[in-house]
Amino acid sequence: MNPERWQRVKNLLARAVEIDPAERAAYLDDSCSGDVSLRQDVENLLLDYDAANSEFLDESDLAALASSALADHENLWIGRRVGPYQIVEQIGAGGMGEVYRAFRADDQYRKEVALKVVRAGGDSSFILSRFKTERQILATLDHPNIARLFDGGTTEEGVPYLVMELIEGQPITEYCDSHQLSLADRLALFLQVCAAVQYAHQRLIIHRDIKPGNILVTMEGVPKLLDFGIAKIVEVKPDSEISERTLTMFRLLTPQYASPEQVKGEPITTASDVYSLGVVLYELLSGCSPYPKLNSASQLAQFVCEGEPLKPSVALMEDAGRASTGTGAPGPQMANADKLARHLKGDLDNIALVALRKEPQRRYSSVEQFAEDIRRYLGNLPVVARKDTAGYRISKFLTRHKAGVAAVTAIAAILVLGFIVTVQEARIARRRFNDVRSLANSLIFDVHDSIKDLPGSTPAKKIIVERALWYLNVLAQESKGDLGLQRELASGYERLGSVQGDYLENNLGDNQGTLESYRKALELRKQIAASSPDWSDRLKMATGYRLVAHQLEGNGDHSEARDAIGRAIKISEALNNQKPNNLDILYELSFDYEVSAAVGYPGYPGDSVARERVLQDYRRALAVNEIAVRLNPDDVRTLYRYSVDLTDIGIILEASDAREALKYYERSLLIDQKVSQLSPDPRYQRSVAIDYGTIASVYDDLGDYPRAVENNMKDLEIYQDLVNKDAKNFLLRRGVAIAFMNTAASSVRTGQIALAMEYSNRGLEIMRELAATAPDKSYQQRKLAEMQVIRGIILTAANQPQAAIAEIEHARSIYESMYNAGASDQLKVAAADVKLGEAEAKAGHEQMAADHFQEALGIVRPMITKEPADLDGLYFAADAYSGLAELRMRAAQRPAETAEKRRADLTKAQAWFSDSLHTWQRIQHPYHTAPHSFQVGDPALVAKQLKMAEAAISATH
Amino acid sequence: MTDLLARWSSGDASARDALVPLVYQELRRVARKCLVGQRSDHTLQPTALVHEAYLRLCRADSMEWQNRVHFFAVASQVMRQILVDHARARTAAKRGGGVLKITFSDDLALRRKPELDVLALDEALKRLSELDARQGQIVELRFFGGLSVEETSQTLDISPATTKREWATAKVWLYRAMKRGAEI
Repeated sequence: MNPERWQRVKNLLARAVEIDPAERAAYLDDSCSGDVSLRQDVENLLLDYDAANSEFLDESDLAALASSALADHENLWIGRRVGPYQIVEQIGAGGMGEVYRAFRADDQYRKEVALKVVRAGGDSSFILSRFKTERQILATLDHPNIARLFDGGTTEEGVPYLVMELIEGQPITEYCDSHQLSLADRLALFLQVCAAVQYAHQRLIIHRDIKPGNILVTMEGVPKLLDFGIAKIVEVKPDSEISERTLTMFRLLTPQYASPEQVKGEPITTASDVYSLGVVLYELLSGCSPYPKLNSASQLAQFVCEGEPLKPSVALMEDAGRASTGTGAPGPQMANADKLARHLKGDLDNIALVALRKEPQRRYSSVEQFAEDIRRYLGNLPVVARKDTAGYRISKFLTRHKAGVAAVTAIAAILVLGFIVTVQEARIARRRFNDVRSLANSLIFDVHDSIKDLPGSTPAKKIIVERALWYLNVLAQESKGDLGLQRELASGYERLGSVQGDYLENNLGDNQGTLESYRKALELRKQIAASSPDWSDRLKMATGYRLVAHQLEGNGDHSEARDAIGRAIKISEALNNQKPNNLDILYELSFDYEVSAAVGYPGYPGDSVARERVLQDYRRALAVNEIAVRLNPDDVRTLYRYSVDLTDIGIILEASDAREALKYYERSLLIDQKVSQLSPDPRYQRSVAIDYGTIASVYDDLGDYPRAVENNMKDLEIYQDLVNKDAKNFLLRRGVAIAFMNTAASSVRTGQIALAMEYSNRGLEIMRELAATAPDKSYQQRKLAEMQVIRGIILTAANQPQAAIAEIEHARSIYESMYNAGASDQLKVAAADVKLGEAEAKAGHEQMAADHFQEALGIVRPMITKEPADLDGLYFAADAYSGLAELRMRAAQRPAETAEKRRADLTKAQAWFSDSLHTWQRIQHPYHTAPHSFQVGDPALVAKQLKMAEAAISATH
Repeated sequence: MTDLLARWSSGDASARDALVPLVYQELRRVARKCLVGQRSDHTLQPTALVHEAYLRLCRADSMEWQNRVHFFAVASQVMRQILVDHARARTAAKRGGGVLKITFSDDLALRRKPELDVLALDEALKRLSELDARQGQIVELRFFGGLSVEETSQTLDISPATTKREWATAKVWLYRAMKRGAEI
């Protein structure tokens, strides 16, 4: 056709459709005037006119095209970075989203992974939160036949994605067929799949979507389960609005492998996976689905819930029969089918059908049992799966014909059946009971412990422990008086408590929940101890009281805590008297004393009687641990606890008697040195370093600077050694920085200015780097500011007041930016002001210096006018007063001054010195370093200066 | 953008060439925004897409109607190109094969209408344009650009009645060319 011709055809066509169909023939006769082919063209087009103008090229076509083209993530996702992953190509797609081949962009080996974008319908925030919880649980699945879940996150658009092991293989059914695997080989492969599912079930993870497409067999013949538990993440929220429709659609999507309860939307259990595995086994055995070919998903769904599948052997023969009718005579296929069917008949038929029973409780009670039955078949042992019992068939009949059967018949039948069923179920129940019990315990202890140190695993731990506890609770109610079970339950509650919020472990911050769990555990421990003759149950009761006390203390309820720990001590002391030198009892008793000290006594720490009692608790703990150490001299944990007791005593003593404290610290150092020789754990080496640092700080307090330097050097040496072994460890690097700084601070007082300059510089350098990258910004910032102040003090001593001012001013601005955070930051601002005043004075800026001292006083005055005064506040006030006094003294010494002005200056200086001295006198045990911060002046020097000022005044008269 | 459209409408062909990648990029960008993160049953509305891309690129209020018209012309062409490119890529991927793909339950059951063969449509449309360039444009605007009869008429400066008639007959020609493979 040429353009001119088309114009004519087109116009005729347009006109023809506008006129009445009955008149079209006449119109065309007329218009075509004998041109037969022209008329034929128009008539052909007329035939298609309606079709072309109804649905053809309408908006839905474009929408569908555009959606598939633009939604096709070959366009959108390929080559894209998702988190740290680079997407390479799409390898699968389905209702839940798409799967891509990807690799970690920062991995030099470019190890490939499967990245699954989860795009299910429904409430995305719900999916996200579910995704977060489940991801952590799923990440714990570590089994050679389960594709690992490596990672997960959300894209910048907020779409969740999962990163999984990339598996390249064939669906198990295809694999078996293409490799023509024998029956035994198929069963062996299937058993591997069962083992993997069983492994997950032991962790209470249900697959929910087992189907051949999720069981891939690799080239090496290894089956791998994909998408474990993923179905749960993308499952729609049950009560959301769209859910009913979507849910129905979702269920209808793949009823081929879903269990009846899944199709009906009922609760899903491990038995659902047993069912799906049953369908897979059925297909592996017979080569066809257990369901007839049906027209729609809803018919199939109905069959899943109500239809009875054929025996695999029968299905196999029927299928082979159909195949041979297609080809004609029964061929070799038919003969093979016949042979195979004879193998299936009986046991394998029964095994598959037991797994496919409609009622979850009538299937194999676990995948393990399912697998065991297959193994029994392979080993020629009698299988557990038997044909449905007569009782079962009668009950089925009764349910099917509820309306039709006379009530009388039904009742009679039930009476007869009742007895059989009860006995049967009791036996099954017993077995299930033990299964559940061992499952719950393995969850609480094995699984919990194995994920204990995983960062971020806390919510997963809680879920695991809670689920397990739920089982134990049910069991405990069923069997009151079973001591073993009650003990397990109590341990379970103790675990749960520690996950919820025990303030010493990584926890969820649920303090009230912890307390409740500990109380439940204690209640159980009390009941057990009341009916058990075993002394260890009483010891556990003491532990129960101690845990409650500890948590009460953490929650701020001191008096109840006091009561609970008192009871714990009483029980443990009594046990210790009965059975001296028992390590378990000794440990509990020393723990009790330690908690008692931590709980404290009314009036602590101000009241001296309370302080004595705390000290006494620690001394008792120490005495008990001393016995434990004697009994078990090389046990690291015992030794370590002994050394902690020594340190705790030292800390209390240090406030009043630094020399006495030093003795304890030095003993602690000796123990820690022994521990660090026994154990390679670097944490113990760190505690040796900490001991040296603590000892050094006491020497600083006492003004014994050479010893302080010596000990700081040892502290530094250990930290440097540790950092060399673990260069990226943040805490260790910070330890080095602090050790450098402390060494510098003490050496400036021994006059080693050059050393102090070098070390403070190195410490500050490390700290600057850490503060820039640290996760906890405010803490590192404070630490940095502290070091800058110390550096400033050193610079002032080194006669570089300008540089000192710059450092301290920076520190002061850091503290000031945190001014509202609390009194300790305000104090630090005051401290920085004092140090700035000293540097400005050195620089000759007297007015600036005076302003800083005044500012410091303005801050600390409210803290020291009350009782008890803030100790650090007193130190800085004393320094600020003497700083002001020194400025006046300096003014008085200027030769140009008049006698009158000089006297006024001296009088003022005398007043400031006297204020300083009075402030010093309010400090009971004055040290050379303020308790929470920097080095300070010396009251003896102030007293001397006061005398000088007084002498100068009398000289003017 | 406005400048390019103005230059194009005054007959500068190079302006059109410069416009295409811009529009292409914007359409993809808007589409990505719509689709990524949406529910999987979300259906893309191409018309809305074109309008949004237009708004983004031209800041409509300052635009002459003439520019708008030209924009839609470009956008329709670009949309056609995107769909054809994609269909080609997909066919190529199928042929490439080889890699074992993870199979998933497909959601075909939910799709009512078989997808239009856009490559066949493109071929047929090319031939139609040779026969009747204006009809080719109408199909491009109406179908690929998602423009209404009125918008199409204004774009091409013809009456709505003509647009309707040309659109109807063009569809019949295309239908026959595609469905029956008839040589007409």
